Amino acid sequence: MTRPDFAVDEAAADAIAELFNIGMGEPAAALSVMVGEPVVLSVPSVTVARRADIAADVVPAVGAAAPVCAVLGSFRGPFSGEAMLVFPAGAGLALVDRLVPGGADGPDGETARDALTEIGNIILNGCLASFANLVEGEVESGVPCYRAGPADQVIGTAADPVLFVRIDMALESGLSHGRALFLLEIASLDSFRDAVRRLVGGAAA
Amino acid sequence: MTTVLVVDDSRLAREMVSGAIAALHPDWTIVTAVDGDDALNRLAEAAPAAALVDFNMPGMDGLTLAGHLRERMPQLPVGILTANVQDALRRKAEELGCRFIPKPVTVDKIRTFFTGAGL
Repeated sequence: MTRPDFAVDEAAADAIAELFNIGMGEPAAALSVMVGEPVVLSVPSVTVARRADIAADVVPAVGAAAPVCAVLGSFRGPFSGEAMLVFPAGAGLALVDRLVPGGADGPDGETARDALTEIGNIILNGCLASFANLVEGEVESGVPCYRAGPADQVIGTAADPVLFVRIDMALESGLSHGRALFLLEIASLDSFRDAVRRLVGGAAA
Repeated sequence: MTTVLVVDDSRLAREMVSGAIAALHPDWTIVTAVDGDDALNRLAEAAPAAALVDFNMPGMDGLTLAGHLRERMPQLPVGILTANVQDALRRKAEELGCRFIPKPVTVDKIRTFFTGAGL
């Protein structure tokens, strides 16, 4: 893994956050239809942190050992990196139960694996696809895989700092909540800046 | 002189919206604000003829801000800009009498908003 480029100034961080904000719109709407209630999204944040810190922050009261269910996938394009949709285990199973009533069969169960992989696919690949369309680029993403276990085993413990985008999502009823994380290596900040410039120019054209 | 208020926490988004407005009406004044409180403070600068407000902002969200703007200027046309294209949010915006404008913003969407607002 190449070292992420940390020469990300405030304007670039702002642009990244806004592009992911737009990218999450359609997939959140799709999830909202599936669960039959509004899905509340946070304002995206762009931060540098260690994987260990990211893992410890999923359920802050429990820390890195907190049981989680997650869907993870890698992607390549103007941004390359890793996309994750992470749920505290109880919240993930509550979501499974909403989608497949009575079907939540534990974090390692087949139903949980199928349902959360599909949700992860919709959210993560939907967001990356919108993002790619916005910057008129192409983002290739692999098939996401499902993992359940302690947060640090699922997310990793590497001490290298990574640049990541975080968007929290919750069902309006409070039944379930999770977090979309995009760990970024910026392949080419210049090509990203060009894409943003085209986007601003396109809106004004 | 027509003034339009643009409220978004993202600089990129403010630039995109301002660029679209300037493309349609180069002579209009655009006042930008970074959040709800900033927007309410800027109302004194010049009474806007319309406001374009992001929904997903830190602090006060766009619908809350739209409510405050409407209290002070009941006739003000307000467009809610959002990537959050869920029907529930669209309904809430329309209940407040606001136009729902899905992001990304384009010149056509802004033109439609202004036309609907009689500007």
